[in-house]
Amino acid sequence: MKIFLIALFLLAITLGAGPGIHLVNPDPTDPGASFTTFGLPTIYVWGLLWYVVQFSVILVAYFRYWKTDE
Amino acid sequence: MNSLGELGNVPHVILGLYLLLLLALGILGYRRRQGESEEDYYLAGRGQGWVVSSLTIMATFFSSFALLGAPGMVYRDGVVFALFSLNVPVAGVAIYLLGSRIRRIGRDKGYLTPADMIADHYDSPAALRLLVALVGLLYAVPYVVIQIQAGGILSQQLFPGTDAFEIGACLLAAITMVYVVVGGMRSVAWTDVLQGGLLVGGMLLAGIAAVGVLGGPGPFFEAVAKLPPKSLSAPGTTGRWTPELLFTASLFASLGSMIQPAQWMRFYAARSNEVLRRSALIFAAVLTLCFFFGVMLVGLGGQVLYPLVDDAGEYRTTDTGAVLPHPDVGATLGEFDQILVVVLKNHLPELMGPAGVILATLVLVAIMAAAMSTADSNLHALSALITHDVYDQFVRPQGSQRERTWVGRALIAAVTVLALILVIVARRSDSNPLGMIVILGLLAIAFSTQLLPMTVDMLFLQRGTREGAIVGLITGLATIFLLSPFWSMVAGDAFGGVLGSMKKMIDIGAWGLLFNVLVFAALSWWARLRQ
Repeated sequence: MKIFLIALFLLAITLGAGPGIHLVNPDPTDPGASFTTFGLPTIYVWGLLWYVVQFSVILVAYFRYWKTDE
Repeated sequence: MNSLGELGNVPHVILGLYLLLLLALGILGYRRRQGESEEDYYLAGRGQGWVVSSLTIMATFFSSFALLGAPGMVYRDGVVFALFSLNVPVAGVAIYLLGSRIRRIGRDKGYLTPADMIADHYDSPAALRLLVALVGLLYAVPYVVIQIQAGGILSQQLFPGTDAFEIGACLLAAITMVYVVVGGMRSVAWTDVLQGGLLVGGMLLAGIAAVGVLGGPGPFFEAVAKLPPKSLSAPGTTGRWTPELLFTASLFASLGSMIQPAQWMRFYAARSNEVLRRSALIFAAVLTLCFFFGVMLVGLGGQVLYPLVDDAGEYRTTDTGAVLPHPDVGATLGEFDQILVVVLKNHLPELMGPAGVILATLVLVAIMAAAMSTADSNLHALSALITHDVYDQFVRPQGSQRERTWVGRALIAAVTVLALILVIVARRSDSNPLGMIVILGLLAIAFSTQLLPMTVDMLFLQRGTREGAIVGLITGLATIFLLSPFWSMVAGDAFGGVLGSMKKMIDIGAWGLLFNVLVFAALSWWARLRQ
């Protein structure tokens, strides 16, 4: 489970603010390109989505793995 | 049209009250001191609870970089820079994973500065101690400079007139210096609580204000959807933010910011593991939302209100082709950073009348809070580095605790004055070399990121050697120097082609880290092999 959480967190930062942007990045030179999803800029929605993943991982780690004692 | 000036002295009164409160907290910190020891002055007796710790860590992390620099960068390059917000959860995780170990070892061995721990671990009382102190200096000085510069920008927009920039910069520098000198870590942390609360509220209010100015969420995003295609895609208007560059900047900016001296000392000052555990969660939750739904929206709204393109759809550029802000925002490349202040000042009073003026003033006070809370932490850390790592070790090891804290105080005053002079001289030069806040901030972070290989090795792996640590760190710092603007100042266009290509590929801190790790690992492996 720990390894899965670490991998998921790394995946979230790599896809959210890294090379993963290429998957959704509209081509500014393409006149037919769509730049929005649900009315918001597509890459902004993409970032929000991966933030949800990052924070979910942190929540699980906080309650299950991060120690409260010394 | 309403403007900040039409409410008479209300903005001045709010700002004055805020500054007086800071001074009062500084004096209170001094009165609550427990003797004249370095541990009390620099770490507040290692007794900070989770409310103070989480807010002081937040306030130190968020500076004018967040409140002026980030919206300025979104205003220039578009929505792609909003994804930089994803560095914040990484920093949150670092607070727990790195911070809790640093705190435990620091408490057990009585460490005061990062260099104490690193020099002790690698058994290098002189070379590594001085190198680590140098890294702290290379981080803290630009960061203090940026904050003082922000005070000038704010003043220039709020109280236009002759020398408004210089007066604002001097005021911010003087008040920050006074309460840090007087109260040490206790005052810095208490003022950070006030400032942390203000800046979190200010960031969210700024976002709400920007959306409100354009008529609410629906009309706001409809208008944003009509921005030029480059503003809605990577690599942005200027082509700077390729996904690879954004990735390395986000990843290493967060880690570099969390192991810089001021944060490292906050880990030492935390009362328990639980304090850092809670701080990490609050940090990751609250601050990322402040970025995404706060200041980043100001940059996007700014592009709608003050378009970068003219009526013919062409970008306004300099003679060399660099994109310029709208003339109402500024006339030079460094003035993109003014977008938040311009939007608040010109639109909120018009939209909401007197309530808008008060709201705008509160956000502007939050900008000041962000700048002061980072400047105070870095001045305080800088004083610890020079006093404890240099003066105590090499100049007067026999000096008393009282003498050391007073040397620390004198250093804070000296560094503040030097930083202020630098800001004013740069401002008055024809081409301001300090440029945009984000660019200078990322350079400072690139330097502190070079402590990462040693920190990870020391806390988790324990495979590195002294030689590897020293040469690796020097290699990382030299790489950043080569890739920084300093190199072209010294050597002109030497290796310009290669270095220019490298800078476009990934963040310069990541390049430094790459060479640092390679050298550190190779030399450590070689040293172990010889043994």
